[in-house]
Formats: sequence, structure tokens, C-alpha cells
Amino acid sequence: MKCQECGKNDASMHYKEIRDGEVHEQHLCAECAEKKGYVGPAAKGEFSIPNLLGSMAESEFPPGEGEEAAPRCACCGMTYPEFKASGRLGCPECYEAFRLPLIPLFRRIHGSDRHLGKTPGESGEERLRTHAIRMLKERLERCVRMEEFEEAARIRDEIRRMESEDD
Amino acid sequence: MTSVPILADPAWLEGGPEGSIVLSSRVRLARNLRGHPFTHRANPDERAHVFETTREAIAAAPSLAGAEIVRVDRTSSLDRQYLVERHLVSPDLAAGSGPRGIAIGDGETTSVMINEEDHLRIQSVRAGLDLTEAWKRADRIDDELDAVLDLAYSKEWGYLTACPTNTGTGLRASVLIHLPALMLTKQISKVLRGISQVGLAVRGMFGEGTEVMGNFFQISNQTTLGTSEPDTLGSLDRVARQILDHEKSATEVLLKNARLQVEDKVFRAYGILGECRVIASQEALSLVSALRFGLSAGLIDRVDLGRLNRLMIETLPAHLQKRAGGKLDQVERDYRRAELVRGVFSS
Repeated sequence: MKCQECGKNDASMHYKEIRDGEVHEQHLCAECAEKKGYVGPAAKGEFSIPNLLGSMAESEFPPGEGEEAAPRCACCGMTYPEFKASGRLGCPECYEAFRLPLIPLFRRIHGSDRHLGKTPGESGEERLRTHAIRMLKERLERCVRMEEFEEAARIRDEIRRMESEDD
Repeated sequence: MTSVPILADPAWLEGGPEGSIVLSSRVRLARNLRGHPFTHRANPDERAHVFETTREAIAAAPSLAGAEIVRVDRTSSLDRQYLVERHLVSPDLAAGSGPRGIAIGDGETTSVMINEEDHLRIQSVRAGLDLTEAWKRADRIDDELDAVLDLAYSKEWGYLTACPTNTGTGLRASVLIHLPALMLTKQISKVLRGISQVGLAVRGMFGEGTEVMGNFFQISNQTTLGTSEPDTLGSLDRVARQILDHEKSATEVLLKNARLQVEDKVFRAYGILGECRVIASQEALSLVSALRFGLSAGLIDRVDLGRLNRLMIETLPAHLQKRAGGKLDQVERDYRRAELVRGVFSS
């Protein structure tokens, strides 16, 4: 089969796309596929963590709408497409600049978007208590989901008691 | 050019809890300085600034008292490879650019990489299966550096790192484990599948992207957000202990069903190491693996575990060249390697 675009080379790339409920097929040579922007990193066989992360980030941010709305990091000037391309953020401030697309990305990578670990400057004892409170809050959420309200109320009181020790 | 001296034997090779199966337990913490671009986006001046700020903080940290701080960018490629072979420096740091370095603590059990992917990578390693102690030491260094440095941290997302796969605790804990019996009994793929199902990663001995060599596997956590450090370490420890039990029962099965063949393999390894005249590093590693297995299975007692562990590092290319005091081509290395192992086993 010859390439639909140039009609000269053999078609080695085959694409199926569903637009408005209709199936569109394209048969292209590698050159034309790249010109038309079909050949991403994965198609070129470049399989790396940044690329993989980039493509995960891509799906969180539909190209066209979110991207223009995504701000540039005021601190280091990184743009979201740059992050997608490298898989790495530019500076700590980027986390605020790209907060919206990062949340679903974290959920995919870690299954969570909430830090449950160490807090700087906390003593060992404080850390143990913070950890215990976090565990209780998780149990509380589970109890509410399971509609075990009596146990949930007991845990809530326990959390209040532990938190009031802070003062 | 800074020259790296020949370093003393690393303390983490001396054998620890479950040492006949678990070589070492490692913890690394990724940290960054607030208000500075991450290393990959920093220009040489910014990298130099981060290096200097971190160097001062390290020099003031009691847990790193007397640490040797090496500017890796000022060392020769042989010295860089030497540091990589000792697991002090990652291949990425060795191959990087601009001001970067490593602070090497006492006995090489604690160290800090500067200007790797993150500004700081605090590393702690213990002999055998001992994640708790490895964590305690890394945690203490982290506290001491945090007292001086303004680290990038958010209450919601924890420690902010260059790559979102490390955000949160910034903790990568790993265990280097020797599984010859599971390999010989062909149960290894089942065990490895199980490990990946519980969200842990498995790699070859020398970290990311390398082949499994000498039946060594590195098991590590993958997620850093939504789990606390004790939970991460606890689940890795539990899984490591389970694998250890599998390895022990596979050893029993082997000894029951094929004792003679296994003994033959172990003693042939001993014989070759004691008599060889040229030997490649891959072969040396697999023979040392056979002897380790002989030790853990109780088939041989004339070798010392710590000596075997050290030999795995000493027979690597850059170590042979440092020992010889200059560059050696492959033929010369294979000859020197044979000389070294013969010296250990022929007596």
C-alpha cells in the first residue's frame, strides 16, 4: 500500500481515529506521519520515564484548552508543555503554577495527592502523633464510607482529643 | 583535577542481619533548596551556589563529621567510575555536567550527592536487612541539614522534587538480595511478579536500567505520596522477609533433591577462582554468587562472607585500575582480576 499523503513511499504507519462517531483510517509513510504530527515519542521507539510521564500529563490536560490557560511558572519561567516534554519540573515554585494538572498526575503515579510523611522541624514525638492522627483520619473516612457511624463518632472524638493536645 | 584516593573497605560489605541472603539495605532522601531552579534547569553559577550552600551545611552536620567532600566534576573519568562502582555516586551524577559532588561519611555508610537530579540526595546504607537503622541515619542527617538549609516543602505535597515520581517523602528504600536458589529452581519469575503486584519495583544489582547480574536483585518502593516513611519501610521489610523465606525453602528443596549437583557447582566455583589465570568480571561475579550460595546453604565454610562481598566490588574495572595505579585494557584487567581472586582462594 502506498502512502495516502505523498503517494510515493510505502505506507508503514496505520492510524484509526474515531471522530464524531465515524471511523477514519489513514495509511502513511513514516515521513508524512511525522510531518502530520502523528509520530510521538512512543512511535519513534523512545521509551523513557520523562516521555512516559509527559504522555501521562498530556492526558490530564486536553491539548488546546487547558494548555493555553496553564500559566508559566513565575519563578523559573517553565511552561507546561516544557514540563510535559522533559517530565521534570523547573523549580519548587512550578508545583504551585501547575497545581491543577499535577493533582490528577499524582493520583495516577502514587494513587494519592496528599503527603503523609515527615514534616520538617517536627520532633520524633510530634511526628509519631501526626502519624497517629493521620491514620485515625483515614480510618474515620473508611468508617463513614462503610456507614459505621458509631465507630466514626468514637474516632472523631479521639482525633479531637489528640489535636487539642497541640494547644 | 582532584584525585580520589583509594578508599578503605566500605563498612556495609561486612555482613549484617540475614547477611547471607541480603547484601544491603539502602535509603535515599531527595531534597531541594527553596527558591532555586532544579539542577537540570540551573546554570553553572546557580549550580555552584547550590553546591557551596550545601557543602557548608554538610560541614556543619554532626552526623557527617569528617565527611570527605569530592567535586565530582573535577575528577577523572576513572575516578568517577570508581565512585559509581562503590555505589556512592549514581551513573547520572557521574555523567552530568557543572559543579556537582559527593560527601562521603564514615565507612561509606552515609553520603550525600549534590546536584544530581535533585539538589541533595541523602544516602544511607547498612549491611544485611536493616532498613530501620538505614532510615534512622538518613532521617537524622536530613534533620541536621534542614536546621541550616531552607528546603522546598509543602504541607500538602511534602518535599518538592524535580521529578513528580519522588514528590512527597522523597524516599527510595531498597534492599539488595541474592536469590540463587529461586533462580535455579526457576521460581524467580513468580516471585518477581508478586513483588510488582504489591507496588514494589525490582531491578538488577547496579540500579536503574541494568541487567540482573550474579543473581542479585534490588527491590524498592515506587510511591512517595500518600504513604508515610514508616509504612513504606515496613512494607518493603515485610516483602523482603517473605522473599527470604522463599529463598530458604527453595534452598532446602535443592539440597534434598540435587545436593550433589549443587555441591559440585559450589566447589567448581571455588576451584576456578583459586586457579584461574584470566577471568572476566561477569564470570567472577557469577562464581562469587555460587560461593555465596554455598555459604548460605551450609555447604562450604572455608570462605568469609565479608571477603566475598568486598571481592564483588574489588573485581570491577575501575577498582582494578585504581589498584594498579593506571589505565588497563580489558586483557590486562582480566589477568589482574584473576591474580586478585587467586590470591584470596588459593591459600
